Parts: sequence; structure tokens; C-alpha cells
Amino acid sequence: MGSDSLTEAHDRERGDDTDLAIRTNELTKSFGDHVAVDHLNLAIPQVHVYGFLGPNGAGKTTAMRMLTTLLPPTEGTATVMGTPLTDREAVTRHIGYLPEDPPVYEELTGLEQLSYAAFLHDIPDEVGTGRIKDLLFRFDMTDYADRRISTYSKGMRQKIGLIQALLHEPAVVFLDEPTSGLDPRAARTVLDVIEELVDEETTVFLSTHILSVVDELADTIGVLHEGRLVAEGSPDDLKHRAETGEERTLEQAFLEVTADHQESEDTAEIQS
Amino acid sequence: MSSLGHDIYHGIGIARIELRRSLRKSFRTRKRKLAVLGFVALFSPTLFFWGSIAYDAGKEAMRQGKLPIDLIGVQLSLLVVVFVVMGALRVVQQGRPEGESLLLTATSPRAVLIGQTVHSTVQLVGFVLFPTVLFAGAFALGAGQPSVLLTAVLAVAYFSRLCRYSEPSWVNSSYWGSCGVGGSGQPVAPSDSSFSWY
Repeated sequence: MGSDSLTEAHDRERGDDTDLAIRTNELTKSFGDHVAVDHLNLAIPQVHVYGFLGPNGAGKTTAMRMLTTLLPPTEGTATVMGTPLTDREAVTRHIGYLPEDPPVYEELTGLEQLSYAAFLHDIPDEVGTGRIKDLLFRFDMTDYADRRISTYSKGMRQKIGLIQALLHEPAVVFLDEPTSGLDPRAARTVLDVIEELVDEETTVFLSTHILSVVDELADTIGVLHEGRLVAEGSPDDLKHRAETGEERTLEQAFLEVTADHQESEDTAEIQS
Repeated sequence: MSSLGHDIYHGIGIARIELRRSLRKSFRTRKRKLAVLGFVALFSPTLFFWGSIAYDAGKEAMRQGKLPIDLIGVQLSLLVVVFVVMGALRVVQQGRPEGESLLLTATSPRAVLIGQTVHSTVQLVGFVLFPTVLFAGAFALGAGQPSVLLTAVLAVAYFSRLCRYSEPSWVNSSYWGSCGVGGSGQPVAPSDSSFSWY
């Protein structure tokens, strides 16, 4: 699906934002002359896993940082659970965010870090203690909770970061490359948790360049290339070549979609 | 929009964690521990030299029969302002706080700013705290009034303890009362839960 037809499709769907977990309208972010995210239109239903695919530098993290209120958009609007991004405080109540480099402090223990996150989210002691205990157990981290984070492996830090993002039971969780650098077992745990989150009525916005992850988990995949959404659909839609009716792998689909747009841009550049 | 009281409450929590982190960072490696010891060894003789001068000044003030309390009060107030301004400038210089994606998706930017500024100010005060207590102690001893220093130390310790163990309710109307600045707020007993540190 081309970006123009995607915009039209979103225009048709546009309506009541309250049913949507995330809605963006022409969301754009520029840094000087460089347009990192270019008129992005998304309409993601609630209790959905949205896989946000794209090569390095495509603008995935910038889009995510705008949706988590960490970066102001240059143009366009967006809502999260029906709340506009301009209402920062209300939006942050609905979201949990795990960036690629988890925001954990090496000098604290895992338990101190999570208690700190609970404090910042205004979770009462008695509720927070129970939740932390449950999540540590679920992630197999109970035995390491009193150890300093500086002694943790990358996978353990990622787990603490994920627990921290889930602690206040957000309706939408943004995960930026959640399995990067993890060993297969740790990656499996993270993927299982993502599946469980959907069972618990959470929307997951998952940015990654690991195709197998989105193929396994995502209900819808959006492919971002040079800031633009160049394809969107279910994994099966993307794997099915409409013109010839033949099936391809997600990797082939991804490469074709991003290459098509690269070629058309090069042609336009030469013509101009 | 979050209330100022709530932001101050979060700010103090942030400052406490930042202080804990900076203290642990300072003593994390053997090299750093040695550096701190070397620093103390280097400046201790100077401190004793200035301590004896403060003692003599205290004696002289006592001999003249009056302490310039008004002047000292003004100077101390100015010193507090200077430390807060220096702390704020350090925060501005440092730019984005570490772990900003946690802080800014969990609390308000104002709370983060308050926390970072309090941390930075306390850190600056911490650098001069030991020499200041030494000078003030020597001066008070020289003036034959050691209880002045003891009272000040106890007051600071009591105030810190009140604020440390207050529950989130002190964020609201009872905030200033429970911190001992008027009102009838009472300190809450220390909690045994894992959250008692904030």
C-alpha cells in the first residue's frame, strides 16, 4: 500500500478517537532541514500490537519520542487514548515507555530503581510493593533485586526497564527495540510478556528492525522509511504480493517496500 | 497541571535518589576512594589552621561583648541564595538529566528541575559543609557558646527527619505544617516497607 493511499485510508477511518489507542494526524518532526518524521498518519485500535518497522535512521525512535511527549512535533497532532499530546500530564498517565537504552541507574539496586519508579508514578506503597514483587517474579529477577544494576547483564537491565515501564499498568506501552542485545532466552521472556500484555488489554507499540519479532507478535505492521509510512497492513497482507498473488517472506516484503521508495525518490531527484 | 506541592514532593524524592547515586558513585571504585582520602589529607592541615583563626575570632567577639548576629544572618541568607543560584546554573549546564525518559514520562518537568536543583545545591553545600561546621564550631567554642552550634545541628537534623518520613499526604495542605514550619502537622512514623527510603 503506498503512502498516499494509506493517508486516504486513514482519512476514511478518521472519526471518534476514543476507540483508538493512538491516532496521529500529519505528525511531523524536523531538525533544521532534515525531516525525521514526515506527515505520519496512524490509527491504532486499543488492545493491539502495532509493529513499527524500518531501517536504522528511518525515524522510528523520533516518532516514538513524540508519542511519549519527550519531543514536541514540528507539525501535526496526535492523541494517545483520546488525549492530545499537548496534555502532557494526562498522556503520561496512559503510557509506559522502554527506550532502546533502558533508563536505569547503575548505582541503585533493582529494587531501589523500581521503588523509585513507583514513587514517581504515585503508586501507593502497599500496591507498589506487591506489583514489584509480582513483576520481579514474572521476569525471574527476584534473586537479583538487591544487587546493584551496575552488576546486571544487558538482558537483566532490559527486564528492569520493562518492569519499570509496566509498573503503573499503562494502557499503551511503547517498546523501542525491546529484544536488542538479549540472549534467546531473555528475548523469549520479553516476547511472552508482550503477548500477555495484550491478554491484559494493553496496546503495544513495538518498534524494531527484527522482522521475526513483529511477524510473530504484531496485529498490524507499519513500515517507516525516511520518515514516511510507506506500507501498512497485517503481516499476512504484507507478505502477500497483490500484483502476482504470490507469497513472500516478511523480509522480502520489507526490502521490496523500502527499495521501491528509494528508487522512486532517486528518480524524482534525477528528474528535478 | 500538577500542583507546586506535588512537584516539590517529587523534586525532593528525585534529589534524594540523585544524592544517593552521587555518593555511591564517589566511593564506587578503589581509585575514587583513594582520591577522596587524598583530598581530605591535603586540606586537613589548612582546615585546622583556619579553625584556630575562627576560634580566636570567637574569643575576640566574646571579649568585645557582642556578636554581630544581624550581620551574620544577612550573610548566611545571601550565602543560601548564592548556593541555590550556583546549583541551578550547574543544572542548566548539565542539560538533559540522566534517565530523562523515565523522569519526564512519570512526573512533571518542574518536579525534575526542582529535584535536580536541590540535588546540585545540596552537593555544593556538602563540599563546604565540613569546613563550615568546623569553623562555626571553633568560633562558638572561642566565644564560649558551644550550645549555639549544637542547637543548629540538632535543628537541621530534626527538620531533615520530619521531611524524610512524611507520607505523601504532606504534599497537600499539611505540607508546611508537617515540615515544622508552623501549623500543627506531626511527623509520621518511619515505614517498614521497601518504600520507606523516600
